[in-house]
Amino acid sequence: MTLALEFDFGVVREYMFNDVILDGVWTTIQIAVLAQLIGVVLGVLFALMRVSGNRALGFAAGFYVWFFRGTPALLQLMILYLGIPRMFDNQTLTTELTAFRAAVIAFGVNEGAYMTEIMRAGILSVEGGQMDAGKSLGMTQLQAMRRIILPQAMRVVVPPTGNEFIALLKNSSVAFAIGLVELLGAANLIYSVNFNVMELLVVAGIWYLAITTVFSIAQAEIERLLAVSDRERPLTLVSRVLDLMAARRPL
Amino acid sequence: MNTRISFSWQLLLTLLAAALLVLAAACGGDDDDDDGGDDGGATPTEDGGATVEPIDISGVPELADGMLTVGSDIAYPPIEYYEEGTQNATGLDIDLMNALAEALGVDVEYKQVADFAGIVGDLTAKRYDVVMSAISITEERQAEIDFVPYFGPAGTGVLVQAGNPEGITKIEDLCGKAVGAQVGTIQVDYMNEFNKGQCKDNPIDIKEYPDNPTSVQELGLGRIAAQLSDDPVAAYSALQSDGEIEVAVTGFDSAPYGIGVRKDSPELKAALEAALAAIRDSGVYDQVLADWGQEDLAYQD
Amino acid sequence: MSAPGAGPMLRCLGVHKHFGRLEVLRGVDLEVERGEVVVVLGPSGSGKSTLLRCINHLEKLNDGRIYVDGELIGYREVNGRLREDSEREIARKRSQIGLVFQRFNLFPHLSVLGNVMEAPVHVKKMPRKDAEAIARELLARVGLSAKADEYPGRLSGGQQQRVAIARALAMQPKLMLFDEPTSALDPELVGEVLDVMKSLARDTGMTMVVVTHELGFAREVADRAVFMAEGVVVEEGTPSEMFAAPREPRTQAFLSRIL
Repeated sequence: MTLALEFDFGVVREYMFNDVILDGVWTTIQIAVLAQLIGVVLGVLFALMRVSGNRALGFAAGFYVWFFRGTPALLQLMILYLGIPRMFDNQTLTTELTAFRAAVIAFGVNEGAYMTEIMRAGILSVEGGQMDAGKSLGMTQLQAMRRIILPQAMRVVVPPTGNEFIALLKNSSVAFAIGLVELLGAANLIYSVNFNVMELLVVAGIWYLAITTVFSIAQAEIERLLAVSDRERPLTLVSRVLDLMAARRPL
Repeated sequence: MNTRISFSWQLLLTLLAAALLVLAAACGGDDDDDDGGDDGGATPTEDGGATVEPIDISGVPELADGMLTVGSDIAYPPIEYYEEGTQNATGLDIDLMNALAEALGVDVEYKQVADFAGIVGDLTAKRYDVVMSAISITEERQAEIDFVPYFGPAGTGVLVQAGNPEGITKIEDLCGKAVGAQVGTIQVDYMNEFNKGQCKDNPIDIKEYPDNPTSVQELGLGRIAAQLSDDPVAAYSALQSDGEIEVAVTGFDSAPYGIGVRKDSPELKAALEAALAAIRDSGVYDQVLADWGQEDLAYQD
Repeated sequence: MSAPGAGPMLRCLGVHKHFGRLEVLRGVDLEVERGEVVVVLGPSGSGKSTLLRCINHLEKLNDGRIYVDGELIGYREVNGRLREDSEREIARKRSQIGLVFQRFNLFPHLSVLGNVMEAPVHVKKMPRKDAEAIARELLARVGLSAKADEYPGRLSGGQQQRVAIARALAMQPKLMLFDEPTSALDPELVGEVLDVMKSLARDTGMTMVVVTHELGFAREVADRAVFMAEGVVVEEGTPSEMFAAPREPRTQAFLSRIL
């Protein structure tokens, strides 16, 4: 007999690479990556609208941020997944809008609101003289934005975006509310049958840590790449390992 | 200035105390009689005719404070749910538990569990004294906790969209289709069994949701072909859907509902069994079932 | 107006510019001939820098007209009224005017070579190979061939400003504007930048408008000096004349302070 109050490492080991858990891991990663991509694209778009100086565009972007940052992501997801199909009564739309797609769209659009503010801060962090310099060389505002301002804004934008991505990875677990079996949902399905609640939660926790660790290392690498113009590039785990390997290599 | 402030404070406190008194009186009036156990020696039942032997709860540590804490997933109408727009738990389970508590001479407090799938663990972790949530008695659950069976066995109802567009008339018709149910329910166990048996070559695509209402929504939207829950719940969902969904199949194997009690609480289990026997004898049990039109759900050993 | 290739390179007619209530330019008239080097002097706040920014339409005019090589800058005339040009047209006209900033404004995310190639490749759509050849030649001319692959952050101020000059020249402008190009530099680095500007004036005959306080440079290179104060041109003449015998009291006061 298994007592629920005991902790059984064997159960953790058994379920670490269970198919349902691995599917959950993969679903979680996919949602986070795709939603973050949507978020970045929308963030750039709406940030450009906000700094464009055009009132209508600025207002539209401001409204977008106000709405999607001011309501919970889960509410937006439920409106999209459960509410909107009721309004249209179109079976194809309803069936095509799977829980996974709804989660990607809802989290992506929600993320876009946060990315808009991050991108805007990044753009504003670039000196005004850079835009002047671009324009004086014959670039249009959009050209200068794309070639001169945004690449520089990226450096400021990457660290908070990394935070956003990790938050997204973790918060995607609320999608289980609409039946999407991501990582935490997968653990839930299993402990609903075998009652090893703590063990399965630990399995999910280990996976979340593993995923966020991998992406944090990737983020440090991106920051290092973007710091190419600095006098001293920051050291990262990967660069240190490479340095170490180079030093050990016999001449 | 000072006197005015203290005067208004006094007034406020007096009013508050008065309000509390009125409230307590009102609650005491229609609820159980707290000191009924000490003086009368018998608890009057609704029709006032029959009397039952008092149940001795002195040896039950969980009830020493005069309060029974019940964990339940209160989103499974009509078995247990919140009255529309309120925080008042109601339903078949709730009425029965209220009757049991009355027989035991204790108050009841219902607590919404975080997750039906975790309800067994919540009990063993001593978050509640008992759990009562239309829990079917299964071998797996019995390995963890004890049960006092009280209803059923309830069958499983298969809900489909109005007009049964998928033509589901028997279990085998579910094979190969997307079918929803609440996570941790016996219906999920059934489907897993089917996928090892009848549906082996064409397994059911089991869609599990954290709560039953969401999976019923999904059926209404046509994202799943069928939805499984206990018979009375399925019937109630169909009734509430304004003709959007209907019950296609009922029956197939099921298990009785049990009140979950920790294995280290034999005294509480015995007290609940005694209370159940008492209200069955007194007719209150049948009355509760009749109130909800669920006479078929009377417990059969 | 005169067709391209003839007449003065730059004509400013009654240029007005105000920021809110602050009137910065109050009717500036200025003509610069082809190949001429004009130095603009004046106390801070006299509108010198704003005038340069108006010439390539980084600032919109409130009144007046500016022609570069016979072409109206920033606007087109429709039925005798001025309409602002499309962004694309403004950009095209700007690309023919080089501007060197006080604070260099190099692109820190691009290498030195990348800075110089950026506009030829992405504005003129020149093949990378050709743009690189031009960029390397220009870097050689400003004495920075060795720094082509460095990033601006690793260069001294003087070196950065020389790159900025090369970057502006890469678009083969008709007119070069310099906005206090040496005032952000440490004194020992001023010379190398002025040398580049001198050789540009002497060897290529570039038309240049230079806002500066470097009187030595003005005396040596400039054909004409223009003194601005309170948003108007107060006095103009050859540098040697003006510096030796300023006519206007405000010119005298200014020169006595910086000499």
